[in-house]
Amino acid sequence: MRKIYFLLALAVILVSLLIVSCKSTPTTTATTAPKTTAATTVTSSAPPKTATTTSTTVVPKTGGVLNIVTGVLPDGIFGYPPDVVNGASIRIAGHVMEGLYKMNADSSLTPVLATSWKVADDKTSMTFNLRKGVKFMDGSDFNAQAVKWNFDNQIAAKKVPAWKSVDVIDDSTVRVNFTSYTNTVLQTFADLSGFIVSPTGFQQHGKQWMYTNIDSTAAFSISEFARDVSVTMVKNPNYWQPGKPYLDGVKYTFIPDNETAWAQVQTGKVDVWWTTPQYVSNAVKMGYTYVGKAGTTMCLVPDSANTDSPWANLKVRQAAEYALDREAMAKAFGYGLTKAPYQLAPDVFPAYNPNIEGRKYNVDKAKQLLSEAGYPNGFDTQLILQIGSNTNKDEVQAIQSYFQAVGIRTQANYYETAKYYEFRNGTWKNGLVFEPNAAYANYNRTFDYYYGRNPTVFFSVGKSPAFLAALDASMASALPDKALMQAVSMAMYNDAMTIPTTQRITLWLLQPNSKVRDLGLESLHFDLYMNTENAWFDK
Amino acid sequence: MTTYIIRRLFSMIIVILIVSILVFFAMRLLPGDPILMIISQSEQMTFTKEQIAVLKEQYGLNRPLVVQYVEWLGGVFHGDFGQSIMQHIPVTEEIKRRIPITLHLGVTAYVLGLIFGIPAGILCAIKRGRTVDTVVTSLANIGITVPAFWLGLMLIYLFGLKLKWLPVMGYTSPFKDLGMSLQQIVMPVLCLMLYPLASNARQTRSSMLEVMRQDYIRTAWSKGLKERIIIMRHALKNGLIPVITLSGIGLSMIIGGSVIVETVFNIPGMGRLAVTSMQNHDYPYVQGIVLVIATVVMLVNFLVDLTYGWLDPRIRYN
Repeated sequence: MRKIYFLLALAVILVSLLIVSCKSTPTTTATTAPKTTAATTVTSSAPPKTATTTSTTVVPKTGGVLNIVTGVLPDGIFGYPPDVVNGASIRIAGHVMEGLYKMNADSSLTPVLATSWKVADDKTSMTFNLRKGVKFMDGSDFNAQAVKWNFDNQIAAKKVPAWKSVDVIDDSTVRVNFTSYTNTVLQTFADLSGFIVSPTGFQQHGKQWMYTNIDSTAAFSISEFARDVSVTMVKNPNYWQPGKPYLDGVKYTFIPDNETAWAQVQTGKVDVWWTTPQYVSNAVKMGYTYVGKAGTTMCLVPDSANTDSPWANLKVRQAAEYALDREAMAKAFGYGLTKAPYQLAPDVFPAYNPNIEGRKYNVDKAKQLLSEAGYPNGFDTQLILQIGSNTNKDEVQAIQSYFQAVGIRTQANYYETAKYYEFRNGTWKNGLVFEPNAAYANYNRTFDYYYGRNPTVFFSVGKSPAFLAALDASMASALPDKALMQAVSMAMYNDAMTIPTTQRITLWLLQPNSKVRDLGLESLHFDLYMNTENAWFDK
Repeated sequence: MTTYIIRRLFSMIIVILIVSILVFFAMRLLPGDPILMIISQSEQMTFTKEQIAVLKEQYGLNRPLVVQYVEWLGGVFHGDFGQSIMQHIPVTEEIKRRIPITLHLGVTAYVLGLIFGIPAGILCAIKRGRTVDTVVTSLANIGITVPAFWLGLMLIYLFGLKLKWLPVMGYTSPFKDLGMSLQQIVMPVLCLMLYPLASNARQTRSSMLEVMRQDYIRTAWSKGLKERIIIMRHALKNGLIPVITLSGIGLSMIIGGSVIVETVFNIPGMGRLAVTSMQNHDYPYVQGIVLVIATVVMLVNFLVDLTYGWLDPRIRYN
């Protein structure tokens, strides 16, 4: 009897081991930079394809449904822009609504519902000439009154502080008046706040209906929303761009569990999977391709405005940068897909300053700086972290180890969201807030949001006059200016205002020999939208 | 009997009320709140303190806790569990949509666990000491210990990817597409039914062996009755009493197990909703789901107790 038990148990164990060893699942080992194929990482800051660019030698083919998998669940509010806040819902809104223009990765603008625009010389307003002959899905006309209705709703909801009022000049001309002007306001017409939906649809059906029913001018509308399961979008047969969209539809499937999503990808039924470096780094060995876009930079943000904090001393902040081996961290935590950051802006952004050499890993230099700053034996401080966020605990431990080696003794304090936000959205003492700094297409917005004169977060960060002057100049220019943004980056670097640690990369995994074309992934930032109206299947 | 039923129903209501109070206040005592979850999940948004205050007022979160509880409870008596803070939809509507999915899987697994587990246990008891007893008992022991998420992933790999016999995930209503629905529930039901099947088999075997040793069974044998008559008419009823108790607990465990299975197979049931609403601090959802689950568990226990009386005439409720 015992023998049979033993043999049975042994058989089960052997079968399990066999299955596990044969299973082709991504492991957690870091890899060197994997081989990429044609549809993979774009790391240059060359101007990307614009929304209206397609291949000049190949005629796009029509047909097919683009299947996209993501683990982020939308909240089910898509079609009424003032109420859309959820990250996943915003992505979907970008397929089914349009703004007056699109902002590209290099901050240039591509006409969409507006054919031209002009910022007034005194920068108190911006006038748009609207595209004629465009209709909403309900058949009503897109015109200046519709734009005014939409923008008035945004103003009433206080979503865009820079917008003061909207005037209808004529049926196809509208003017937006500003409370104050910086070039960051340009993006507000390109993203969610600038999306246009039909006032007629709203009046007929109400707000609740519009949450999951789309009445816009876009190439796609939602045909089915299965909460927490999928969103199915079908082409708008009356789309204003002739011949487009080429796709019959787009379907988002929500799979929060990465292993299940990976299994579904391997069935071949998924065209694009929005996923993590861990899965991409091993999937490419199996022939999968990917597109990656560096965006968010993880930063240790010091309370340099507190005069009694060690972090108020520039040399201490510089020492902290020298203490970190960011090359090793990029290899380990980015799975070979990211670069070590020595300034806030990743190198794919115009704000990236190539003249910044960076404070490369140098323990002796770090100790010397600490000693010069009056801390020959180091000091105690804290890392302020959020429970349940995307913070990589291994990265936190690595940071602690590097700091410990030079004498900066850090206590890692994890806080619940409520308490963490008290620090992040307020002030803190003698510590480093570990926070992802999101990268907007117009990088002035990133600078201003986190480190501006009136930031939204990080009120304990000190700002030098030189930095503020550079930022003011960069934001005041009529359009985002590369040189001015690079000057801001230099000023930030000189002040060591923030300590970049690693980059986060947005990754889309594609099937081997993917037939998807012109989706625009190569130029995508987290705040920009796929070009599904231009996408097509090459088969 | 009627008095007993009324007394039990009354005590159920008290217990459910206590559970609702505990859940309500426990959720609010936890650090974090749904408003901050909205903020952390939002993009392209800058929330000022004033906007946060407006949101709190909009969802009634700035009122005293007792007031919030009384208002919520008043709604419950009208079948209104409130509105989800994250999704802006009535909680009742979403629970109604998801309960059939979880019940579809759970009840199927439960029934199959009984259908296969009890006969397996009876077989083991009859053939005690023989090869079939050893094999089935060993498999039952393995079935109890295998984690559902591991089994799910193995099944996905084997039947979904390697053999390509079944879809790897998803759920389709049987009223919409019966064929696809059957294909999609095979693996999740297998994962869910394994534990109840195994425990039913073990418990049935154990209790049948106990019953088969009784004097009245020996008398039945000596009277020359057929084995089938002895098992089915004399032994089974008494042997099933502990099995019924266990299966009542098993149904509760199926509800808990559905959380894992629904996550692995990407099924939009109550279990997955429970997890995401807990993570999001979506109070109305958590309260509604816990209330529903508590009610189901209480009702099941009640039915189990009533079944005792039917099975064993010696048990009478006054």
